[in-house]
Amino acid sequence: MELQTNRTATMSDEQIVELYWQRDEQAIKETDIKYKKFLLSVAMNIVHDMCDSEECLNDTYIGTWNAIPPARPVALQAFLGSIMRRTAIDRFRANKRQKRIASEFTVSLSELEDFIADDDDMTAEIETKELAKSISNFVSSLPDRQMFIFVSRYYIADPISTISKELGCSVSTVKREIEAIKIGLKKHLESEGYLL
Amino acid sequence: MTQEKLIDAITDLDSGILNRYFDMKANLAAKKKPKKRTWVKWASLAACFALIITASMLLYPSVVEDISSDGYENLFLFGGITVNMNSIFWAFFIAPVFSVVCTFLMWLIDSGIIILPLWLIRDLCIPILHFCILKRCIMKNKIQKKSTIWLVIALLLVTVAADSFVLEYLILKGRLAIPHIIFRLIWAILCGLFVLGHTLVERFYRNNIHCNIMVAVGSTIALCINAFMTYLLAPTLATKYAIDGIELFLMPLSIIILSVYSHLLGRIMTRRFMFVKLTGWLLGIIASEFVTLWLLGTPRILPTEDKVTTIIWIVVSAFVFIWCLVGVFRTYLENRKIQRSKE
Repeated sequence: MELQTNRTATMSDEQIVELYWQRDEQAIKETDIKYKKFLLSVAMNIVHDMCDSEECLNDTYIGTWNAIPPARPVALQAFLGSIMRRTAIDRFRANKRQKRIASEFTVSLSELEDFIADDDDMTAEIETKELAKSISNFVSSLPDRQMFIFVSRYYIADPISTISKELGCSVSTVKREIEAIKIGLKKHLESEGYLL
Repeated sequence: MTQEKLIDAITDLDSGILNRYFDMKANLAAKKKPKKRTWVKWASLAACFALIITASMLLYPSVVEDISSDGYENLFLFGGITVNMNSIFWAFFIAPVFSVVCTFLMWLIDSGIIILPLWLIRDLCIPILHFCILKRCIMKNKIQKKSTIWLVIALLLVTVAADSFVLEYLILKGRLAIPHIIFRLIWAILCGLFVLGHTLVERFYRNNIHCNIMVAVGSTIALCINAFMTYLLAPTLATKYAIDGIELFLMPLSIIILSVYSHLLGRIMTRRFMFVKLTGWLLGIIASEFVTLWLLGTPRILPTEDKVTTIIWIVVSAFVFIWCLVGVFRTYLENRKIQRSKE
């Protein structure tokens, strides 16, 4: 599918979703115009390869095309980001089976090693959805700034330097806040019985 | 919990959170500040030093009236207030590293011209070095940082108290030991609170205007308490140490400079070479005690009689201090290089 990326985005999210509902291929073009850069950055942070990122982008468009309808996302960017993250993580896992990838995502994952224990048997019954809900509850309770850092670092997998630039503070400040968030999350998960 | 599960769980993050995130991202992009210029902090630091020197130079002509006719024992005049030179000598050696450098400079210059600027620097020395140690403790001990900070503060207070007591006991046989120790402890606590407050604000609440206002208010209150305490203690302390109007006048100035300086240090200090800084601080205290006691034993004589010992202390302290500065500067350059390569 050849996409137009030269012109600037003019359509609102609601209009784009409406196009999806009308099964108009223009929806994908508009999505590409408006969110290509963002989606590629998400993919690049995870797979760390331009070709893979492009493929993930196409997969995301196809996934979105298939998902809407029946879905009618209120926030299109979050919806697209979620699909892209899943797609990119699948690609990342496939690549990882063959070789180790040094991506920002790998680095952000290594920061969460404290949370990973060899207790598969014990936690096998715990549904991922429940864990997601618990993490969501924790992140919702965070102040805006810490929520922003958490999502940037562990959802979008942005480098710390990028986060610090966006927040207008130093890299070390972001690192300290990440440490505080991790400690808080660990306590939260422990209190809910996810960690021992 | 497996890594896979954690990844999947984060992927399933609530869409409300993501909406919040994207809203905040859009807001941040809309009100993005212009790019920081790194030279600003260095220029500010230079301006801070310039302020110290300028203020000292402005004060100097009215301070010095008679320093040469009867050696260093004679009196300064400052708006009708007399200040004994012995007390100024004593005052220098409160600061650990700089005191030795001051001694060396005075020995070189052989006059009182340099006294006032150095006196102002005296008020900055302990807090600066202490700030380095506090920062080190905070950075290294993330979990137990509170206890470590208290340990370092206790170390400072004990050092100051012991220093005061030893001096008082040797000079006055302990007659003014208690008020003197109280005075110095209050001053040390105020300095410590200033530096700690500014450091914490710098670390955690840089963009929070309310916290900055709180610190400014706290600083003003501390300044008033300090001035009031000086006023109350002046009659007692002036007898021998001349801690009177001149201190009252200089303390607000020095404490303002201290605030600005500690704030700037919060921006430029790094954890590199912190062990050396700590060692320098301890060596400085020992050197300070040594030189102070020696000088006070014969207050009219500058340390020219035992040049070798003095020079050893001077070289060690100066070397350590310069090493610290080089460390800070090198780290700054390395960070800059890394930042550029990332960009």
